[in-house]
Amino acid sequence: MPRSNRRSFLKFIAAGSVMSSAALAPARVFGQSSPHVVIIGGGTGGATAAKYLKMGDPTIRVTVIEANEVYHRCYGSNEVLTGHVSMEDISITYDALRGKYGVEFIFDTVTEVNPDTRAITLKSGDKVQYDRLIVSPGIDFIWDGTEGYSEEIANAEMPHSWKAGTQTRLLKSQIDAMPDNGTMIIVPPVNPYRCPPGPYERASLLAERFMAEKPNAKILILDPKDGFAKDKPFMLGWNRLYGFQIPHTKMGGMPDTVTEFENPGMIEWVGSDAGGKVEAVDAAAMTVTTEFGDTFHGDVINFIPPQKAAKLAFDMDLVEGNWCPINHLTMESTRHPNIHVIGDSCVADVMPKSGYSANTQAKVVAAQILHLLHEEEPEEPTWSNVCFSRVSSDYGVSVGGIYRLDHESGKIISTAGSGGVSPLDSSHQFNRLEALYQEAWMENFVADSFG
Amino acid sequence: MRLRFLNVFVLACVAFPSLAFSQTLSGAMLGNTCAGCHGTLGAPENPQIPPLAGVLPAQFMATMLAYRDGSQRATIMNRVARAYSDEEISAMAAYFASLPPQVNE
Repeated sequence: MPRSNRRSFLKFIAAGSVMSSAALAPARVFGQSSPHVVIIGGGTGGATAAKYLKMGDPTIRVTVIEANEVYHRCYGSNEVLTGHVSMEDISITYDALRGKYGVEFIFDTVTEVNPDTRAITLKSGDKVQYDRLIVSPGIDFIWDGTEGYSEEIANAEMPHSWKAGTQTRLLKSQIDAMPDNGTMIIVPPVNPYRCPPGPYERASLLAERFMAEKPNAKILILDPKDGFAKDKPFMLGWNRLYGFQIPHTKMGGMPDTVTEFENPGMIEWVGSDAGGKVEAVDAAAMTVTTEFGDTFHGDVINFIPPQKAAKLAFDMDLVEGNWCPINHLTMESTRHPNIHVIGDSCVADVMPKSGYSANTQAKVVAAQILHLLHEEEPEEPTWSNVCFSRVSSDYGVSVGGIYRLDHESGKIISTAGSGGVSPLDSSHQFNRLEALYQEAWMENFVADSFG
Repeated sequence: MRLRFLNVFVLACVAFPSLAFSQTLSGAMLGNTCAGCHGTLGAPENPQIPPLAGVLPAQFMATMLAYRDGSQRATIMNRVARAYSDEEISAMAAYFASLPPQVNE
């Protein structure tokens, strides 16, 4: 019975044997010096993996190599755009991981990784030796494919604000300066991309802000897709709160209480079948042109480009296509042994590219690496994703999924009959509660990853 | 010793693929998927999402089974509980019961 994950697993065993016998990098085992697990990338995946490795076995050495001493989390950064929270509120230090769990940190940039000698070279010239390596580098953007668009334009006229930090500040300053009757255009990317509901939560929270501050403003979403994460719960909330006309294609399952609007409200969504795909931008004129040839002017244009695994993953030869293939049992790269890839950059099949996914992938990789270092068999893995989004401060929607390994295909699959989005027939109190839970979920999730 | 162990293991994998490792999910592996919302080791910072550490197994079982069959309505937990078998809920119950509730400092 051919099983791809099993084959990959056997490949790992074989590679391990070759490594040991060739004595290229003798595997350290217990009784000798402590094994060293190195993690490249201190985002949600890397931080969670470091924490859970040390929780699982405090005797192993865990080192995180990260470029920045302060991390700005992407999730929650939409609330910086509305002014509900500050940049400081989404800033995270590594004090807890260092102090409470004994994780070591090197603030530097990786220039080379040699998978044969298991040696990492840093920009400073220092070298770091690993027994197992976890790579959690996140995403980079695909700049080409849209006429007139470039990285330079993203850094000036048309910010993406899809990595928190400078980009968040830039987009916020443009939104703050937008005239009362201005138009903000949001251009979400094609799948797959980081934080699938993010562009639509952004539209929601800015609509709430504009209702109070700029009641004549418009938010136009020009989408290359014909649907999106939690689209029906979002659209129902928009209909109730922002005068949104639900497209005919999304009416299935909607309650009888939805309102028909003659004129579009503050939010307008144009899907791919209605010509939403943007093919060209003009930064000087501040316009975008769709594949149907329509040109729209925006006072603010939030163009979120398509995405791929971070450059480091390409440099390390971990990528096929745009993402990193892995053996889902151990999250180990199928391209290089002893290197595990988690988070947005890995191929995780049905799991969305979210911080929460990276968090549960990190817990699986931590458990499996501890088993492997202890010369035990890996255990049966499971993952989850939970995401709460706010349609307004008082109206929340959610999605949840529990994932398992399919042993026939080697792929990650959703558990049949479970998960999914908030029901469309839910009560007022249900959505109010989901808004409250959004706050608790964010706080607990950040603490589980970094605290 | 290591190589000999690995050879035996490879043979076992080939001869009995389903025996390569247990396909039963451990309580800790299952419990880790709860921790993102309910806190590391079942102890959340924000207890609007309730703590699970130290919850009595009978209480945990009854609540999860009621979420699963819909006799108790929640926001997201009905959707989540439907993912788990009786055995898995029981393993989670034992795991969280074994964890100490967070003490006041």
